[in-house]
Amino acid sequence: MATTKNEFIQLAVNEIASYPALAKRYQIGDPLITQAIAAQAAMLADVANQIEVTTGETWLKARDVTVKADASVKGVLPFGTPCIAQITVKNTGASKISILAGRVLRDQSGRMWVVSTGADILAGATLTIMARQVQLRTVTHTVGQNMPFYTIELAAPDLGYIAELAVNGWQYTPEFCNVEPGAQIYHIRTDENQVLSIQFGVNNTAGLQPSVGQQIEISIYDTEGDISPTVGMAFYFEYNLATESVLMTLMQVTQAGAAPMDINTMREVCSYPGIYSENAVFLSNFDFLVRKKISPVTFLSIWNEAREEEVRGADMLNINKLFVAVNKANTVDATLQARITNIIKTADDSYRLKFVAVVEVVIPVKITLYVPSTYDAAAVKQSVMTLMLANYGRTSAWAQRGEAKILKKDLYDLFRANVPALTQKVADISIDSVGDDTALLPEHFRYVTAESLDVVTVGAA
Amino acid sequence: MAEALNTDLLFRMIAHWFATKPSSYYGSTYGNPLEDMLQKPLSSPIADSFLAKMRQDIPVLDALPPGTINLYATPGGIDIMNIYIEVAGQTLSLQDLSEVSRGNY
Repeated sequence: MATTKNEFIQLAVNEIASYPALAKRYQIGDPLITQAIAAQAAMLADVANQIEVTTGETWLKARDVTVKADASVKGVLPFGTPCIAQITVKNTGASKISILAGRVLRDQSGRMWVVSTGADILAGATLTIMARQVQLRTVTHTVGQNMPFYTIELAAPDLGYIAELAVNGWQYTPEFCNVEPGAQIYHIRTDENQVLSIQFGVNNTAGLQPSVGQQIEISIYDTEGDISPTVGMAFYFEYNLATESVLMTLMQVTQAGAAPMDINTMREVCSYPGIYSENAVFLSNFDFLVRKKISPVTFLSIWNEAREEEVRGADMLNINKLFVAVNKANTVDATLQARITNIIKTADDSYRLKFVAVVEVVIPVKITLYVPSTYDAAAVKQSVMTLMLANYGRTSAWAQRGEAKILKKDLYDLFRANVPALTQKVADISIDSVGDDTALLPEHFRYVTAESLDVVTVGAA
Repeated sequence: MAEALNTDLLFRMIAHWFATKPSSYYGSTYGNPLEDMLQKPLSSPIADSFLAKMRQDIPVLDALPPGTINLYATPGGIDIMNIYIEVAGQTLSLQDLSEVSRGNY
């Protein structure tokens, strides 16, 4: 236990008897003496607290900053995901209009959208276009120093998050491994404060150092993340010609926007082993790769040929195949699948992919609690239900992973740590049954609901 | 060595309290809430809460017999209020408190 402020004060008071004049003044509560001691004790207590937390971090990433530092090392970048929408355009003018990709639209809340797939629309016709909720910002940086791993920090936007970025004339590389000397590459990194920066290479080893005075143009797309627009929302051109007259309304959101990973998701994602790079060298952990890039998901499970054949038997078609079961709120399956295919193919294009429909499975759990008579049994039952639903419910971090299992030892630990009534000497916990006879398949999205939870309380002597 | 506890020490405590703003000491609200007096009508009973805070922060003042510590206010013009602290018959204006040396503890 960390030493408390009062304990530190007591230690100082034990010493004060050696100074009789001060001891007298301490006894009457002279603030000249007591306040100084109390302030020092408060600081020492805070340091003691921090040491306590740090000691525990050998086993557990307790502080948020540790999780962020870990995420930074593992290359989890704090990018937002832009909302992608399909927009119906009706040409109400007299002449044909063409909407080119890259044209800027505004929605009725004033947010900027950029057309990604345009269309030529004849007078009176109705067509659909695709647009992304991003806003382009261009930064020109003048290189001030010729040094290895020259780094440019990027300012966060006033509103929203950075969704993607590109450096004019330079190629992105996820790491400096396997990069030819002289190649015009850059790397994107983040620090424990979630500040994004661009890093260039080292001359004669990997990549190229930009020379002094060189102008580097960086295009940054900012997005407002989760905006949840409603169907029928109107769009307008940012600038339009006098002859252009159109009615634009939102038809469908094909990908919901999202903020960068929050700290809880990050904690979960970073619990994967550290040794993993985004290429085919480490042929595993595609779950981590995909989860890192399309967070937040409702459910994601990725498994390989071996696991597939364990549950459904061998098949020639399974050779060199990865199986993906995924579910993400407010996102059209086709868009999501295209994105995941792209992510996996970029990492390793030798795999074939198969998307498997997610099957939701509710797990029945039966728990008997022996509650001491001095406690309110109904309240204890309620707190156990709440704990179960928070940790194993549909939206819990636990449920998001494939093949998640409820371990009885975790349940005992969870209850003992959070329900005081169950730590009493005469109290007892019995996990009578978890799950049923249903075989566990990798595409099963398993969770506990209030209905599937059966908590019985029995009075303990 | 002179007696450690005397009236002078009381004045030093009060001067120290007066020179300290609340929350200057880490983890403590010890200090004089002078800013609270700003924008208050001169006629309001500010002296009471001021004195209450002082008694709370300097426990020895509470241990003294009732009436030993008094706070007086006299109007000194349109927007001036002079506040005096009286301890055991000695009176000191808040204006002059800065001249009371805090000393070597």
